Amino acid sequence: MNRSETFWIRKKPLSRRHLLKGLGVALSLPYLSAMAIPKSAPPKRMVNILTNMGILPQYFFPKETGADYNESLYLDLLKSHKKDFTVFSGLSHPEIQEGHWGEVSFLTGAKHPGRSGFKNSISTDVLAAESIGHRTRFPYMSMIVGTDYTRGLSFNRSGIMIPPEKRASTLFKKMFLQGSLREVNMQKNRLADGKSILDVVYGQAKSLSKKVGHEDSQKVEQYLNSVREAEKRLQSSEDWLSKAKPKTSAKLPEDLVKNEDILNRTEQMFEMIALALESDSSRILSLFIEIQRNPKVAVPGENIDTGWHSLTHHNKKAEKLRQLAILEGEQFKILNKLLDRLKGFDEQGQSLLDSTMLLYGTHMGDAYIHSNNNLPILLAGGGFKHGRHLDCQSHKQDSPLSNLYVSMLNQLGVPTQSFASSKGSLKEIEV
Amino acid sequence: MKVFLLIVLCMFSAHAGDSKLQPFLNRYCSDCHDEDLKKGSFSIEDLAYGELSQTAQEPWTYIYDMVSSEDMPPKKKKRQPSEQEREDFLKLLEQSLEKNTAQRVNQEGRTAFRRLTAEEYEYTLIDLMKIPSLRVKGLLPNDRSAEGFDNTSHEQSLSYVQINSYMDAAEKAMSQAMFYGKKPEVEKWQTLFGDGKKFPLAEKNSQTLIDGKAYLKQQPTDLMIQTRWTKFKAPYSGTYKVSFKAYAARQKEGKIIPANRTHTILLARGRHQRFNIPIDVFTLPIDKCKEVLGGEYYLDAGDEFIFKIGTMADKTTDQLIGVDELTIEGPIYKKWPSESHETLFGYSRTTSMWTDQSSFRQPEFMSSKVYKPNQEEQTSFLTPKKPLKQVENLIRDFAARAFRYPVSKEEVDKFVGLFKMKYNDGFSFQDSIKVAYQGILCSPYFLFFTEGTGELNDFELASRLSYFLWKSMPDKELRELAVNGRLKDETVLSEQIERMILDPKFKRFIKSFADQWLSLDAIDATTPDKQLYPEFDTWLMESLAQETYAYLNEMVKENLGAEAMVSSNFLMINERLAKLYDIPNVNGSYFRKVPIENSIRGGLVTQAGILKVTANGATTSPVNRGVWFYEKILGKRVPPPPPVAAFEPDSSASATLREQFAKHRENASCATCHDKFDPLGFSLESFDVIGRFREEYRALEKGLDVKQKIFGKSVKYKLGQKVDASGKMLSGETFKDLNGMRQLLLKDKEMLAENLTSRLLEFATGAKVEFTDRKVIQDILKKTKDKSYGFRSLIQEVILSDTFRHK
Repeated sequence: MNRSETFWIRKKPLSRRHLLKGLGVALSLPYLSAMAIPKSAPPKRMVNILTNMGILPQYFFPKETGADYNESLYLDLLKSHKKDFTVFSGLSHPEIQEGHWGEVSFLTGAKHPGRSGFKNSISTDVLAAESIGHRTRFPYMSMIVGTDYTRGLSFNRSGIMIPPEKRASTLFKKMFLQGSLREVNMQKNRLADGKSILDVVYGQAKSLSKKVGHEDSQKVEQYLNSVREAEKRLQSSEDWLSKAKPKTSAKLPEDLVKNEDILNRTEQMFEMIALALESDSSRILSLFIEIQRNPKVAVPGENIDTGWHSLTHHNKKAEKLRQLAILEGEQFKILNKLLDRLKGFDEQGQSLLDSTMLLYGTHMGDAYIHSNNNLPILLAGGGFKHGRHLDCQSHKQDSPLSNLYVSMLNQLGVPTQSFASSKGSLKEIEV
Repeated sequence: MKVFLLIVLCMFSAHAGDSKLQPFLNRYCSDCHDEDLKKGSFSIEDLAYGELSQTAQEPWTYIYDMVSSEDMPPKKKKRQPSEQEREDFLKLLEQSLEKNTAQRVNQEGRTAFRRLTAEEYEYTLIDLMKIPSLRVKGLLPNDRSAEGFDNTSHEQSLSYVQINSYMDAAEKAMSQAMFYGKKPEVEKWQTLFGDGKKFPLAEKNSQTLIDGKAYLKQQPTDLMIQTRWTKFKAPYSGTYKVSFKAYAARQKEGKIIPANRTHTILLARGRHQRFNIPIDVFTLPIDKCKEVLGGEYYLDAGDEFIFKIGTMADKTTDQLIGVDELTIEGPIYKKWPSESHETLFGYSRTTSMWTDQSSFRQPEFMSSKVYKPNQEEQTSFLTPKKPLKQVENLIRDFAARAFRYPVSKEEVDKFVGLFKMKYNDGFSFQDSIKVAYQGILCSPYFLFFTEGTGELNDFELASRLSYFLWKSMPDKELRELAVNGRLKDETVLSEQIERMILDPKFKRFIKSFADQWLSLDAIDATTPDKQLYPEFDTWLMESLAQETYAYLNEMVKENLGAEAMVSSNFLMINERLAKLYDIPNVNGSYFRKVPIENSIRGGLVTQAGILKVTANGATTSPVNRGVWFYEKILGKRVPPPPPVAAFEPDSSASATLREQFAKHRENASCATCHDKFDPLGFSLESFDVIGRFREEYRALEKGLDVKQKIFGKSVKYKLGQKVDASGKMLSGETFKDLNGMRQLLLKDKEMLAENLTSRLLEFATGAKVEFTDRKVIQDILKKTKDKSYGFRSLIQEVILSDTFRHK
């Protein structure tokens, strides 16, 4: 399939009004009331994207810092958005030195993910959703494209992974497909039934927890928390049920399943991210691009003869580096299209990118040696002060990546002084 | 009293023992394993003292192994403990480990509440509600973990996403189990061939007309014809009878000539060519139809029959399949309402109670104004005369089976309450009871194995046994034995194990165990490179995992010893694999036992599926395969690599692979581990990414040209470097190829058996093997030694062990 034809047909900026056209005036009302924010200020959004096979640092980091840096190979692919993003060096999570395993801590900053007995902590997306999630139909969306669906980026307060959604079609249906009135009524009954069911099983688990030992009770506790959270979700689904879903001109995507299709699948998920933002279905989105199982990915016109993961073990061979740079470059091209699209979408006179902070990066500073320092990270949009390469090292030490997370959370309207190992926010990008 | 004393004793000595360990650690380990250097990501400063959890014990166990095998401290270090010091340290550590673990196990059991995996959830619903074709696994988040088994309690987690998915899955199952309305009429679809028309097939180019008769023919890029008959799509879920007359034929220059071989038809059901489930295999007669082939199969509404025909012609077009007749009839129901409906509503048992039409209420989905159920349809969803009494019985039955335990009235009442709430709101009997059932399927008693500490009671034992061998709930016989308190009896238990192994449901054990233990669940994670491996086709893809399943099944059936993991004098293969392995005279897609002599093949390690999952689709790496072999087959643990450049051997480089490895091993911290597993990987270098034997690496750039056509196209690959499959084990013993390495491994069959036993014990109990389990495993090995550690004997002894029979 030709990616550029399938998903990115829209050149002209589309406004939300345009998107909702055909639904009638009544339908845009719940959206506004739900936002409960004055018309003049579009709400802030957050997108976190991790690609887990690293990003070649030599092709990512510009040599110069400040605003007048010369584009590196990869950043050149994002050139037209230079003013709209910041590229960081010298950021990483302290006390995470476990190579691949660092991925589970990317959005949480939890220390020592490789050690036995490691317990994760809450991720920025789930944390943010606790405060502002209720404002949209989906408090947050956690997604994955990849070769191993047991992984994820989002973790709750107990450090339990929230399984991400792997099907673009499911996301699309949840966001846009509206049932008939009768179906909506049946759905209402379903939700009511669901709440009664959860009441009963919650009671069962509660009495069970009184009789059991320590480790068993942790399991029951997890169950109780899950049921409580599920109940909250049902309640909010019920509240949203009476509000019509937004309409879209996009088509229901056909799910791609092959590992070799990882680039097309990434693009497909980026489309879902764009749709979610444009329709204000959710303001907190996380995507895990998972490449562990070494897919051999074809790029039209290029000879790629080695699996992606193997290429990251390049032994500094020119040919392997060339192939890897092509694959990673494709990722940046896809990212560029997403930035184009957000930039081109008008929301109350400003671009959607201005209200959307988009974090893109990886948890390994140099995947070749599995190091976790100096992570290739960039942040686009969201109303920050952009257009520079910021070196965040001080005294030859990386600054905590969580500093950036604190700035992002605050910008999102989730006031916080600290997150994980942060030592404050990242003042340099704040306006 | 005894237990109490033991616990007090343990608590005391556990603490005392731990602190005595420190001097040794400080003296011999802290140089490299302190917080600063932390070699191998391991620091002794992270060790927990006096803590009982499994997590706290794991690193201690690792220290024990490294010190007792004398891997640590490394030989090159000057400061070495004396033999006495080493012995004393190990003894102390052993005591401490055993006591700490024993104390926790006594207090809490080895396995904390285990949750049904997505796979177990699906199988359980299938058996509980009697819907053979139910598929709900896809609705649940994946459970597979990269290491170990997905049913390991310690690794399992639960979030609202799972809870929501359980509700969805239960609802889907419920709607599939209920059959509203009158029994569908049996329909018949028939096509007679030979009238000068082509078949109504989905794949147009898969047939040819000769003398006015259509024949199926081989497609140009695949050794397998795969086609659907477009006239038929199951209108209802139910059993369909398919019958057909077909035969093997051959053509030459547009004329039919006598066939020179037979073919097999693989029958599958599904909606899409890519997602179908094989249901039967037929071998075709030669040149003309003899008898009618076919059978009766359960289909989901919307399913089609898919015919897959493996043909093995070397030149593409001379083989044909003649078909004279194809008939499908159905749906056929032995019972109406169906068995699944009866399971939920006890319909036929209580016919007399279901005749009161005055209180009839329509189920919700039918409550539109236009829909008026007719007389017959109404009878299938009537309200019983005494709904409340009836509903209590139905819910008690269902809950007892679902919870795998007799249910108290109190628990039943909770779910009856759900029914009442709905029923009193004016909903139909069905809609109301559905909510109660859905609740049962989301209950902690359904989702978890809520075992009490100490020895498992009869019901808990029945469950553990059943989820081990069937991945699903106990059947009626097991339940009855549990009710009568007979299952703990060793003779009864042994009989049950034999019975369960013979049951078709045992296939689930084979698949689940193999998929996870041997990483076969990643069988389609990579697609072999088309230029390097043009011979890779659908038929081969579909045969790969099947070989390993068939082989493990044979190991159980014949009680083959653990040595069969690395060596055997037979293969379990079909025609496609025989072609790959270069073995003559194996015709047809079904798997059969084929004896071999003086072959490089044999055991699990040369099976194409395994060779594929340990490669990446383009190249093989002795490192990856070595680690896989070392961990999965020998049962050893490899610590994570230090943060140095990852090593990726490259067969297309100018330096030979061995030169690259030698260079890599100059780094001592790499060599410590690589010396252990690299040799294992070398021995598998004789096999490429699709499991084919090779003497040279295929390459696309440098190498000798190859004049060969595959699927009518000249191959693009070249022959590069020669394969070197020799190696030197850590012990200093050398081998020149896999056969040589086999002989070295077979000197220690007990090591292989120990690994297999450990994996079985973990899979059976949902907990990783701990230090205290080692004695149990040694005990099992002793008991099975005279049976050469036969696979079935190991399964038996694992189940009869104390570890299995305690929480």
